[in-house]
Amino acid sequence: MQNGRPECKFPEYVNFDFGSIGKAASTRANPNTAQYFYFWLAAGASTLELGNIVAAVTDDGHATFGTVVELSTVMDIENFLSDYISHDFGDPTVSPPSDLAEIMIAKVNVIRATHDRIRPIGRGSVFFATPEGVAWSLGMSDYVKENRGIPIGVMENGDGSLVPIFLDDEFLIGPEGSHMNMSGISGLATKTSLVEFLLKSILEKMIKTDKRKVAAVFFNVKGKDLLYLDKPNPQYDEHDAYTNKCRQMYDVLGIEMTPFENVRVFAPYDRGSEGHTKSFRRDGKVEHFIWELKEIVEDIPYLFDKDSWDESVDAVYVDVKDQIERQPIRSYDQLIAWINEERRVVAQGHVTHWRGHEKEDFYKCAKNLDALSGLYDGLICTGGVDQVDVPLDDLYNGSIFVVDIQSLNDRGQAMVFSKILKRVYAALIEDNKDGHRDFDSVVFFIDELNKFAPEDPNISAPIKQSVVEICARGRSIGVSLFGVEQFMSQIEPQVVDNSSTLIYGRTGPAELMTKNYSWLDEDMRNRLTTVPKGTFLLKHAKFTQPVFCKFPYPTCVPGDQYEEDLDAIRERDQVSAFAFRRDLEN
Amino acid sequence: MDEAGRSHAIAQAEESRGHLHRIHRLLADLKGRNSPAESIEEDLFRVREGYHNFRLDSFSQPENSTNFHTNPASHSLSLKFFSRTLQRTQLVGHFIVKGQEVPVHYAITGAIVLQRIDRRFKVWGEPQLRFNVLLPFRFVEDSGVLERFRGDDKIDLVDSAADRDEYTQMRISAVRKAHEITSQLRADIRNQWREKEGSDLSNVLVADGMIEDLPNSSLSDNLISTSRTVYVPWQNSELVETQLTVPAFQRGQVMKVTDTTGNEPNIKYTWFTRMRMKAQAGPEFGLLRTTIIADSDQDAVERANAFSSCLVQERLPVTYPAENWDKLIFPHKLCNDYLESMIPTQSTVKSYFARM
Repeated sequence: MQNGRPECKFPEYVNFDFGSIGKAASTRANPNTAQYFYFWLAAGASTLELGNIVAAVTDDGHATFGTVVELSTVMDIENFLSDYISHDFGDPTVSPPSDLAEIMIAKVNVIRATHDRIRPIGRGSVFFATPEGVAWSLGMSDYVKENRGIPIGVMENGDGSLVPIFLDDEFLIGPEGSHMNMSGISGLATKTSLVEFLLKSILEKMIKTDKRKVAAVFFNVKGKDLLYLDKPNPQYDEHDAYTNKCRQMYDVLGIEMTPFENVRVFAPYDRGSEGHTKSFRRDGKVEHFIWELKEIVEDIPYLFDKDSWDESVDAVYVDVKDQIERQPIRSYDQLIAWINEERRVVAQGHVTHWRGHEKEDFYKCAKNLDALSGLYDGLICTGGVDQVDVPLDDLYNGSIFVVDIQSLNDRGQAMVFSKILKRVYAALIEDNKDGHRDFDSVVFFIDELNKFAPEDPNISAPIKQSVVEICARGRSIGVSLFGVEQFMSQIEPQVVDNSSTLIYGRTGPAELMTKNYSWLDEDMRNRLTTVPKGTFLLKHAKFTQPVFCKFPYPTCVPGDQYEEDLDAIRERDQVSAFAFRRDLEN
Repeated sequence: MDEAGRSHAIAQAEESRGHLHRIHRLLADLKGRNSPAESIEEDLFRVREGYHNFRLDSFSQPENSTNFHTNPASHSLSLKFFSRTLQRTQLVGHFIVKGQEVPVHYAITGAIVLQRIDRRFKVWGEPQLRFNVLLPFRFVEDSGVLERFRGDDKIDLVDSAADRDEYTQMRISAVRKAHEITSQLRADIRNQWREKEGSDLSNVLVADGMIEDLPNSSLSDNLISTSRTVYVPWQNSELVETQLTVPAFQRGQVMKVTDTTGNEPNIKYTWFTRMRMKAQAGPEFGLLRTTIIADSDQDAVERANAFSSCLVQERLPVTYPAENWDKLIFPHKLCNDYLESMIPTQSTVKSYFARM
């Protein structure tokens, strides 16, 4: 011990310059264990807070690192009665000449120790861990050294240091582990922004290191959330304290502050206005997609609820599908024409059945098929419109496809999501010896995952099984699902369990009572109810303890904040309408 | 105390645990045995402090009209320093010499001064702690055993030197010796304080314990002592009887204390202050005795009013449920807490020697 500084075999891991922030102690009431230890805070150690990472240096010169998961204060008051008496029998304005001793006690969950033994510590001087110490204790040092680190944010430790936090790419986009799941209250948890930031981080890192070829497919399920990934974030024109801190975070994490490049946006076709799509983005950058009958023939039953499409209707549809293949029927218009002809035949008085089915069942199926083009307008080719598919073959390393499906109902969204997911999955399984495919991994992002993979078995979710299978097997293929929802408890457990990275934003207390959060210490759980925007709790497969992180504003503009140039849109509409009329006249 | 000093203090506390093992080895070398007693010796054997050498003389009327809680005396004094000692003597073992059971004691003695700054406390200087093994040397046949033990400068080997070869007398003698060591520590720390802080007479040290036996030349106007024991064997202790009726937040008569044994009378002044209301309690409840030196009787009375005002304020925050909490001022409780935190508990010492 020199000037209060203990001997340490790993001085680079411990912030001695900041000074000791407390002393580890093991009491009869609160003994230390191999999993956690307690320390009292030094007088003046006012910057320590929940989630900080500290190091307890013991007499043998080793350091034990841990996360502060609980803070409590103890005052030298035996009971409330004595304190009441101390205030002149209940006068709260009384100020006794001596202040009662008040201490703060921290409980620290052990992350890692520099010695190999698994045993509790007794006495130890406690310091903040340095960024190197945090990296070592979380196990980041090894994979960062091997260029496998994906920056996800920074941990702000109590000594003011911004510690870059990296995920192991082999556990984020495979093959060792994969998938990310994030939950939090809508509007407060900044889920979309974090995913945008993380995607930027992944793509930039992968392109820089030339290690993996990663593309991304994002599904925009509400509003304008993901529609302007290619537009710079105007927040960075500001110079307020937090924006400056965000710049600092980009610097610390080594990420360039540029918006995404190579972004293409797709949305269902809008038959009402040629050249436009069913998207809120109106600047002409959105490409449409629309599918022919053969593309969706297998999915049609899933586009209706159980009341409309019961078992008897399903039985009729087997014969309809048979006819679609036999005749063959190539378009939806042809299908409706054939259905109408069948209706006419069945309507004759002596006919009691249609191909062995009750007439009523046939009518019900026909009615559903009739309604399809209205219900899923823009998704199914009718009226001579040709099929335009989402060109998944055009995906390449560093490219991003945003599929805007906010205009579709839940079933329509599920169908598009599932169809594109399966196609990419199939493409990745395919042999790529000739190198026609310029990506090894694809990151899928979808919000409101609870609609597609709900925990409740009574909720109809036609693609739930597909999502579960993707989550179970996708890591080895190269498919990584980034799912986001408000309540993790409403997600199929297999999806959550297979996600090697879990992120928790601000969460309501009722949700925190569910089993998904029971592994967290009570104070950490409670902190989740109040975490500010831009802060999240990270649990990564490589970390033994969760870490509170911050992330900067994304480099692209948040969709709901972007206002398009309405005059330009109007002008483009007029040109487009003129061209449409001219084509018709010709 | 700075970081280095704090670390030193903690290291000292940790070191004390190693003492137990060394004492155990000493007992083994003496061919003795562990035999820890249930209670500490101070609870069994009260050391005569010497009050029988002093006479009280009443010269003022009690200040019955002034309630120092509602009408505090005006003064410029600040109770800024507080000191207390600790003494705990535990019988831990015995060895037999010529059929005589000889007790071996482990005595921890300490003294501390706390300084109050903005209602909070820090240690002034360094707390003094001594860890002692007490035994009558003349019963040790192999002096080499003592020599080997003396090699450790972290624990003192002290001759308890009983007057008579009686077992109980040897135990009483050990307590007396511990008391001597404690008194010396108290004197040392008080002298250090006087040297550094004693010149500012507005900043007062409130010492816990007896100062009547000290020459006035070793004291100063800004040093007062408090005592929570109401009855002590003054030569004319009947004067104390009248103090039992002192009303709440008032003081009793100021009395002169005269040393009747020495060449110098070393006159001091003492009085009782009722710190709390005694409804539903005995007559001694809340009675705290204060002793000072003063230039004159008049000066003593004025200062008794000022200090009584200060002490009445010190009744808060209460120290319940500490022993004698009705008379204990909070800073003295903190002094004790501090010292206790640096030493092994009584049960730790007892259980160590019981299991070895």
